[in-house]
Amino acid sequence: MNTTPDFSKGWRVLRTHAAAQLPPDFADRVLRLMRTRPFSVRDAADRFLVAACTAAACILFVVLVHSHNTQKINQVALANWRQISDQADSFASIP
Amino acid sequence: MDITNSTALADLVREAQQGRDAAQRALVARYQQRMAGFAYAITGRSDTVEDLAQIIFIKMFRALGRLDDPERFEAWLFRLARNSCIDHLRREKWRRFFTPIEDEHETIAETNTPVDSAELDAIRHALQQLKPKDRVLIALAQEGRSQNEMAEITHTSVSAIKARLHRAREQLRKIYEHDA
Repeated sequence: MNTTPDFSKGWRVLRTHAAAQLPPDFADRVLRLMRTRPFSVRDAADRFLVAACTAAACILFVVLVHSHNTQKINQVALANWRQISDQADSFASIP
Repeated sequence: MDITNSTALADLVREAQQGRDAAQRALVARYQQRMAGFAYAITGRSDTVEDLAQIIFIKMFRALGRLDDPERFEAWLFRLARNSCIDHLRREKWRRFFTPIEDEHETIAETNTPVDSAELDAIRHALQQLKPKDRVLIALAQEGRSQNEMAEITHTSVSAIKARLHRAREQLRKIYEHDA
C-alpha cells in the first residue's frame, strides 16, 4: 500500500543486505541473552548510575563556580579594606 | 510455524506472553529480517544491525507482558523498534560529540552480501540525506504501517504524517533517482 514503486527494488536490496548481517542462530542468541542477563534490573541500575553521576557532576560544577566567585569577591573586598586601612594609617600618622 | 493470518499471530503472541520457548523463538524468527531492515534503513550502518535487532527483541520480550491487545502486536513492535533506533542515533550523536576524531576510520567494512551493491549504495545514500525522523516514516511506510499507526507510533497527527511522508518520499525519490 505504501510502497513507492520508484525505489522498491532498492528497498528489497537493503532488506536482503540487512538480513544478511544477522547470524543464522540469531533467535537462539536473543533468547539466550534474555535469560542470562537480567536486563530490566541492569538497565534500571545503569540509568540510575548515569543520573546519579550527572547530578553529582552538576553539583560539583555549581560548588566550584560558587567558590571561585566567592573567592574573587573576597579578594576584591579584602583589597578594598586593605586600601582603607592603609589610608586610615596614613591619616593617623599625620601629626 | 506457519502463520497465515493475524489471529494466528495474536495466538503466537499470547503463547510468547506465557513464556513458551517455541513461540518466543518463532516470534523472533518471523520478525528478525524486518527489524534488521528497519534498523539498517534508519542507522545506515551494517555493524549496528545485529546489536540493534537484539536490543529491539530483548525490549520486546521485557515489555510483552504489558501488551494488552495482541492483535496490535505489529504496530506495537514497530513503535518499540522506532524508539530503539532513535535512542541509538541520539547516543551515537553524544558519543561522537565526546569522542575525539581518530586517524582510523570507525566504520567497519561492509559485509559482502549477494546484493546489488550499486543499488544498495544508492538507497542507503538517499536515506542518509533525510532527517532521522523522516527516515523512520519512510521505513514505517515500507513496512506497511498505515498512516494512523504512524501517527500513533510517532505521537503526531495524521495530517502531519501525510504532509511529512509526502515531502520525505519526494526528497528520497529525487536523490535516489539522481544516484541510481
